[in-house]
Amino acid sequence: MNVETLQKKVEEQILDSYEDMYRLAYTYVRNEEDALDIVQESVYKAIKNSDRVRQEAFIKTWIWRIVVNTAVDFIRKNRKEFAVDEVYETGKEDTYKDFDTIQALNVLDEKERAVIVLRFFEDQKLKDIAGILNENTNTVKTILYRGLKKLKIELTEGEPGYEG
Amino acid sequence: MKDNRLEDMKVDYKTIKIPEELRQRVDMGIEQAKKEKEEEKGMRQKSKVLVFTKRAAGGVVAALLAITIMANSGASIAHAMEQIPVIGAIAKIVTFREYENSVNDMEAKIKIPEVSIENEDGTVNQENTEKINKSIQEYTDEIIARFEADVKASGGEGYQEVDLDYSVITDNDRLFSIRFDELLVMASGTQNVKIYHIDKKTGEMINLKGIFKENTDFINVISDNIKEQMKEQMAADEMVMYWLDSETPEWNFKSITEDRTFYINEAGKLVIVFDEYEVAPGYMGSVEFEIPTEIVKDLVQEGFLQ
Repeated sequence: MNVETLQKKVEEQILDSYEDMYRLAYTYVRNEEDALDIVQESVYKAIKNSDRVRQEAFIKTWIWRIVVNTAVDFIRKNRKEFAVDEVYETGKEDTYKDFDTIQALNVLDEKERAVIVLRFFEDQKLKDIAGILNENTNTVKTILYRGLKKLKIELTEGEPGYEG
Repeated sequence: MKDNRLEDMKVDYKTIKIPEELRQRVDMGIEQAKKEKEEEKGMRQKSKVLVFTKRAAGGVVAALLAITIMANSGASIAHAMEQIPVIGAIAKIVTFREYENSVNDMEAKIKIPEVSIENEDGTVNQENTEKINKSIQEYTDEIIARFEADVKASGGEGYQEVDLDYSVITDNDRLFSIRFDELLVMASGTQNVKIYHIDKKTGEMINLKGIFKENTDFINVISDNIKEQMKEQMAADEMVMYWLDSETPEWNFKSITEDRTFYINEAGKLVIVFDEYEVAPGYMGSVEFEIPTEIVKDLVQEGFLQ
């Protein structure tokens, strides 16, 4: 595939999934303003580097990866601010809806959150999550179960990720 | 008892309010990137520093078929490069066949070349000619069979595009190589690099080990160099990732094997090829490492590398 076609495919994928990108970013920063910044920057990076996706089938995985990295970078750069947040200074968070359940994700670290969100909310395969996070599949599985344990959630048979 | 919290969370997640501004911000990101890319393109053209690479672009899998011509090899191997005499054998593509099949959105177009190997006196070397053509046939049959199986499995309702084309990439005193580029587009799939090498001296297939002198430690020399290259590339570019120091050591790249996929590029350098998922996350596709000739020059047989 030539470079122009690839860029077009990346753009199509972005226009198709920018709302998903926003939700994922939101789980990291939990406020509209920052999530919008992360999405805009991720979109910019994806188009700018579109010639680095070697295969059409991996465009979506690759875009997830950019969003996760951009969100994590964003948090690191603003670490002080978020540290204040953690001490019950929740003023920065939006209050238009009571996201009790989403708030629960706060107990997770960056990787655990990404794995839980991508696996259960975005229905990504473990293998693809491994690609997104640059971990191998076994490690992702370990992170997944560690995350579920922290959330005190036990999977029942038939749920995605259940292993008996 | 079933824990519904994950489902509740998913519902809340899916109903995270999407701000009206989002689409606008996405467009801004796209425009900004496009503008910068255009500017960079303009600058490159002005200064005429256009770089052409032969690298396989997205979705293209390279497969390579090489015939190693070891003419007069018994005597010449021990001699210096300049003493290698005029080659005795010639390999060429004489004709090709084409397989085309299209079922709704599933399409295959496969070109199958026929190679002829001639002796010094101009007569066709039947045995070697048959061997190489049989190898090509097995390879293309496999691709065709896979396509037909996918059509059958999906009842012709899938989406797939398979395109196989070839070109002669090396034709020098020692080596004649045909490269197959397989373009495979599907919802998801794995792609593999397939390379055959035929040693004309014996008529047998050779692998990576076959281009090196006996009892040389090419495996460690090449493996160490690949690890160095992985580290350098990752340090230079955050988008580049290899399994090298990941959390589960058994998944990390440690060493190549003596039958590791390879080819020799236009510059006469040895190139080591890995399938996708083998040493890197899937989005990296299949990856290649060019090995500097100076680190293997004492190990390799003459005439292969430059």
